[in-house]
Amino acid sequence: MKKDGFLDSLNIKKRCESSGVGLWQCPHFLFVVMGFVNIFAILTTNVVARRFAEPEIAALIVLLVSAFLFIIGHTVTRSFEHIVEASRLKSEFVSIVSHELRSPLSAIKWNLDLVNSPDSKGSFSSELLSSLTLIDEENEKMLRLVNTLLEVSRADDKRIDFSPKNFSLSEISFKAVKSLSSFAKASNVGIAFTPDKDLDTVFADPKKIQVVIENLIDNAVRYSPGGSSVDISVSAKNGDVLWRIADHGSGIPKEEQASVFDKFFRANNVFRYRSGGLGVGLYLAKSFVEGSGGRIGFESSEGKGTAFWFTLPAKKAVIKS
Amino acid sequence: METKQKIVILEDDLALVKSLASALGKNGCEVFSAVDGETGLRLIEEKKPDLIVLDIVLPRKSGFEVMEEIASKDGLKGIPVVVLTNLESSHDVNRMLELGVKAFLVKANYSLDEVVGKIKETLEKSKPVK
Repeated sequence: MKKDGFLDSLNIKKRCESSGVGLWQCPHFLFVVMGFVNIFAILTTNVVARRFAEPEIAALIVLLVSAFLFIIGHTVTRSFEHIVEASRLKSEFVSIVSHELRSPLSAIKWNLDLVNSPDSKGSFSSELLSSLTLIDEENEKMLRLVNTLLEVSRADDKRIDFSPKNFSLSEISFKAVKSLSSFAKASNVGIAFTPDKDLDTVFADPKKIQVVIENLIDNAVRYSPGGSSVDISVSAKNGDVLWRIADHGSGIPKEEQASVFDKFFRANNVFRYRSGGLGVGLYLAKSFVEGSGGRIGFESSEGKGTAFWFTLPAKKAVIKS
Repeated sequence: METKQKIVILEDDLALVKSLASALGKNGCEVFSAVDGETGLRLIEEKKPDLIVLDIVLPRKSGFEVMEEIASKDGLKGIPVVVLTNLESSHDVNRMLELGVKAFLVKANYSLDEVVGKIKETLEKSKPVK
């Protein structure tokens, strides 16, 4: 089996890719590595044992050691295999559930559209109308949550579809600021934006980047004290375009800074119970930015505030043929 | 008076069919529907509609199988098809576009008005020149 596995190493690579883990976390690959370690250990044992014991006893020692190594290796890779499989099933489960949830949600949405159409609307009391509007809004909220979950499951499997093109980062930022302005007003947080109109064209998927920007602004506003403001800027940096947002909030505790971009991460300080949502905003932001060929990061000091930033490749020249 | 344009909907979610059929009916279309691919194909052969609305996940015959049959049959080949589904991987989209569908709409991302608009637009574009 080990020999087959070695000759068929291309196939192993494929199997590892399909389970969605890195080479050194892939059970099939590790099994082959264990095989080589086994052979090496046996040869060494053989040399050492022959020096100190009769050939029969040396052979017995070699056999025992090799059996021992084989069993250990087998057990370890088997349990690894179970974990990898469980994780694959989990993200498949999320994806299936999200798909199945979208069908009834779309059906509800379209039937509400039908009821809300101008020619049937007139016959409703204002109370019924406002309830219908609420149902519609809540249904939209649910659809957005399910769509986000789907994106997360795609990000897990590195299956996000990007449709990149040249667009103005400032324009998208204005749109995002606008869509969040009532939330900022309600939180009594000001948003200041310094665009760089000349050097802000990037090459990426504008829809994805708008989600990134909305998530970052939403976070900054959410964790800002009332009466303060957040500052957004766009500037050129080493041939890339840099987007940055700084808040004057309480900062991210040092010991938690490493896991900020993890899925379902919530800071463990006073804000733990202040934020709703799925806790996947920054995880998605990282997947989207890195998938677009950019980088994302932050600087934070407790008590002073946090600045999140990301870079994106500057616009691509259009090649005329 | 112009005859009503015939539309066949292949969709297994009855609540979706009801809303779409009702909206299309208000827009002067005659709507027929089937909840699985096999019955749907028979319905298409029988009605020879002006447009087909097709889901991908369907009992008995999937939307892909239905589309392959439509694309290979002389009498049905020219009928424009709008795919209406909740799948949206680029693999599925490209496969359908290669089979010749006119539009690929993701249910969750469109309102009823927008879907009706797309269907009417497709009908308009593919009207035979008389």
